[in-house]
Amino acid sequence: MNPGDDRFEELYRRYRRSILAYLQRLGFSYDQANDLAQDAFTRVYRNMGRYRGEAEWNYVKTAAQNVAYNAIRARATHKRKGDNVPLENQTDLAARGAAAEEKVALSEVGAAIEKLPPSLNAPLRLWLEGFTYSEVASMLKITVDAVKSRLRDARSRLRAMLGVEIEGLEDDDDQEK
Amino acid sequence: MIRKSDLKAAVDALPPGEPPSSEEIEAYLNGELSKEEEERLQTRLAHFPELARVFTEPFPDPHEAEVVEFAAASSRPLVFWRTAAIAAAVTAAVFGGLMFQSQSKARRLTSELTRPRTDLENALLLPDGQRGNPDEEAPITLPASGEDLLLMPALIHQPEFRDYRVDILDLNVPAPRPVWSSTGIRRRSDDTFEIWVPRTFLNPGIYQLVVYGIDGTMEPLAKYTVKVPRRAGQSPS
Repeated sequence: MNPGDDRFEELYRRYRRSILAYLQRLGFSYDQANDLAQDAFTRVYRNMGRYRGEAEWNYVKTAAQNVAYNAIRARATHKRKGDNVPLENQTDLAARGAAAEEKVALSEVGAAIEKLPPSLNAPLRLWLEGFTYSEVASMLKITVDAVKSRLRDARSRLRAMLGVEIEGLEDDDDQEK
Repeated sequence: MIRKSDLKAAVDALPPGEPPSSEEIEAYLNGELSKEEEERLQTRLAHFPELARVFTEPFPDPHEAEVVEFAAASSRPLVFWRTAAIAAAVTAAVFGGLMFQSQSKARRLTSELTRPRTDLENALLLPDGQRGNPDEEAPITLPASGEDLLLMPALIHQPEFRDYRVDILDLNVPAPRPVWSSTGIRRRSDDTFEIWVPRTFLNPGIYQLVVYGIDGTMEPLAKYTVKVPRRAGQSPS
């Protein structure tokens, strides 16, 4: 028996349920979650020598995130095949809303967002996708206050670039569920 | 003033590009990227919320779970062995039961998906603003019965396009967002599309279907605001 087997069994026993629950929260079925958890623990087993103590739980989490990412990416890539629609000339969707009133085309707004530096672009996009401040902070490894501050900065820069007032981005406290 | 929904629409209209590769994510997770590289990767990841969620979803705390499991035993030291044995037996029974339930459910769902269905409600949808009655701006109320809904958005006086795309937007949140989207939707000879939606996919509330025509560019052709009622006998959650 490999000397690391006992330690691995202990890790597996201790963390398997957490990993399964995490994967199911991401939308995987019980069977899929089981398969992915198996993959994650296989990665852990292969690298048992490199991780010790508290780092083990972090490594298990990282392995789970990695297999989950790959599975979702494969699914998303498959779904997108044949779905590449050139949007550069897309008709202004905003036949609705204030952007149209201000004569600002969506393409201009999109271009302005693209020009934001990554430190402002990422929190803005995640927040627009409906992630809470806490979730954005967790993903970007920054504080909730930093997220709000970056959203304020993004708003100021967009206002400067587009010459149009932007609805408050960081005041929407209903985001925190 | 530009609203949050306008910003969202602008972002959605941008080409998403490719999500970060497995190798890039591995390097990211292992902390091998520079700050700038990390920020660039996060920005790319933000185009793909379903992938970004991998990194925002918290892990249930394994230690906390253990505390809950053993709390009852440690609070009564005199009968520890007995309580522990009972707790173990109950835990085993509960998990056995849960596992059995999960497996049964999986089998049932697979079986349900592969057999013919009968409890299907059709809903022909006319575009907003073209329903020809004073209530035309009111959402179309979908049937309250049926396990599944067959939505049939109809186009009126619209030219042919090479391809079509349909989005379903959730209007029940401050920033409406697509809950489903697909291209390659076939336009039938009667100028309708057919979208089969399991009722469980849409919670009661207001949604909007948007049909786009694609021919080099993407053009919105019609919108259909619908109300998904609470199912007959369904209690408010």
